[in-house]
Amino acid sequence: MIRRLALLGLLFLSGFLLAVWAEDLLVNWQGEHLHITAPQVHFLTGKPLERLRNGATVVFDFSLSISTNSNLKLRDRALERYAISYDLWEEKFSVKQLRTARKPSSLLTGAAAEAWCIDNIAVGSGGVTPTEPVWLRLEVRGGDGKEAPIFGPRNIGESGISLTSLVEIFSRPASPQQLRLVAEAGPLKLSDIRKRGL
Amino acid sequence: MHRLLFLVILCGTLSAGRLPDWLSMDSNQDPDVNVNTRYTVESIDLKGHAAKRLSERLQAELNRLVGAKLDPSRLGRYADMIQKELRAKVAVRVEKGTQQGNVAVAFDIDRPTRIGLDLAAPKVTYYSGEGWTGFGQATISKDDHAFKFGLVSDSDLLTERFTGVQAGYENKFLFSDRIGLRFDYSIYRAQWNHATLNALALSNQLSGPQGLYRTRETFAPAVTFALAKPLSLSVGVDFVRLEGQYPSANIESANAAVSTLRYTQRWGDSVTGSLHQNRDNDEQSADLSATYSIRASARTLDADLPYTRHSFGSRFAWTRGANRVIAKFTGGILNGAAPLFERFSAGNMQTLRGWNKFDLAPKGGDRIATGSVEYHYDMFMLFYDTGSVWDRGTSPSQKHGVGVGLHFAGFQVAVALPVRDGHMNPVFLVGTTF
Repeated sequence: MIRRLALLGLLFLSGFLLAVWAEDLLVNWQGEHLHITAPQVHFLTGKPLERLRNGATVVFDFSLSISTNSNLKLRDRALERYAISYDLWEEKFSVKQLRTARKPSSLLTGAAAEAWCIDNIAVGSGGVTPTEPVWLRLEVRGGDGKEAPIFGPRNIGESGISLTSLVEIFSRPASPQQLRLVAEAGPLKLSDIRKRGL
Repeated sequence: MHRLLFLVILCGTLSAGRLPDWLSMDSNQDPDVNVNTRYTVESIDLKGHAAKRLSERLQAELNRLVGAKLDPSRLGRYADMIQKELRAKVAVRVEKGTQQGNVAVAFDIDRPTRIGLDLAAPKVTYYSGEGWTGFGQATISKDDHAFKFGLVSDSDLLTERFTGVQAGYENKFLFSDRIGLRFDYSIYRAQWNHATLNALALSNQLSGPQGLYRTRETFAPAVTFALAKPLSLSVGVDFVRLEGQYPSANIESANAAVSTLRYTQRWGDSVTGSLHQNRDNDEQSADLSATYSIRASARTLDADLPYTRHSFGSRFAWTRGANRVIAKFTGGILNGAAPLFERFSAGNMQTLRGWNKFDLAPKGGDRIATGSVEYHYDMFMLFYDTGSVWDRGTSPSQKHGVGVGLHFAGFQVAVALPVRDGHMNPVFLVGTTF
């Protein structure tokens, strides 16, 4: 009985760790915003990739946040939603950023599509002083086909997709079927990031 | 008014820059969102054992997707419809087609196997002067297959009380949902009323093929074809073996070819809707069912007595709110020398209520015509029955019966009176089926 419980506990823990796997982020300044690269974050895998190869549109929600005080005090947050599809004849990915009117980026490899999503999310410094330690956290959710397009007159943000709806999505726990990836970096100092030219 | 409201909502939402969810259903059709929407659907494939059960209407709608540009949102909606219709899991796959620029769509339908057990008592009645009737049935079903087993003791339907067992197998999907197959087997022991015995003795028919029998054993294979949605045709053969009572162990055969045409139609639901008016308290609907059956026994079927039996039955029910009017008609003609169980009987739970069937025709008749009108208001019911059962060459004597009663959840209690000069003998009816 104890062995069985221990095994169940181990399975739960390993699943939990897999789901909330802390990835490294590389942070750099571009203008007034912090951009990231996350070479170890791969969300075009498993079921979402299978759905894409079956011709479906798969939606991913991204949250990039900057916080202080040991990752507890949120200073700023950027939210994005991307619709990804896989061209069955070209065998390449296409990514559309739903909160902007920009044309989609097409004919991308899987890695390029992932990188495009991450490149196009940026967060402000949130008024953090250059010497204050900060933590950056990237969270990716979606891929389960349950994301109804959140369009509606009450929630309209800049260009159709609702910011409040995205905030709401990230404020509740991910469903078991949903892909959830978390990558973090910190503590970092903004002065060091500028100095290093990262 | 509804159009105005629609336009207000549409204008409001368009001015806000976006369609609401229920109008933005084609967000996936946007080539920016799904790059495959520029491709043309060259085929639709339904995969899985349950796919063959999909309605023709939905299949026709799916076929209309062929030749159109790919619309993933539309595919999703059809997947939902298939899921609801078949109660199955449905996954959609889109693959490269055989020609550049074309795609092939596949719906993978996974329907779990279901095994069900159903216990029912479809007929439990009491008719004063004629006695109790009970019919209990157990059905084990697995997908399209059903195995039935029943116990019966019926004093209502025929001039005999028949008591015994029934067993059967039914396949509702033989190659298609338009063809069904069934095998029924039954064996009954017959008990005869004194009035029947006396009538047979008077006509010197106690023995012989048209006389009394001790047991009745039937094996009945039949195939049913759904000709059109409201119309179906059953064709089969009843192999009937009668063990005579006088002399005992004398076996008679009453095999017959059987053909039955059924028509059932309903108006007033959300689909057909012609009579539908208001769902709140004035809902209006109508049901019509009609059956014509012919049974032909011939020497070629190894039958001892050649005869032909035609029977017709119809029922029309019109409902509006708590009010309901039901009109029923039955008719039948029997030509030739038929065994007793084929003869028509009236004065029971279905026809000429209030009359005793042994007073009307103790050995049944070879002609029957009955009609009935019922009015229900909520639980309360009134009915009027009329008709006659008689033999060829004699004049029919039309009888009338009236009654009042209560019904609730398929259970009914009523008192019926035969309309005749001189005296009144009320009959008490109770049961789960009328």
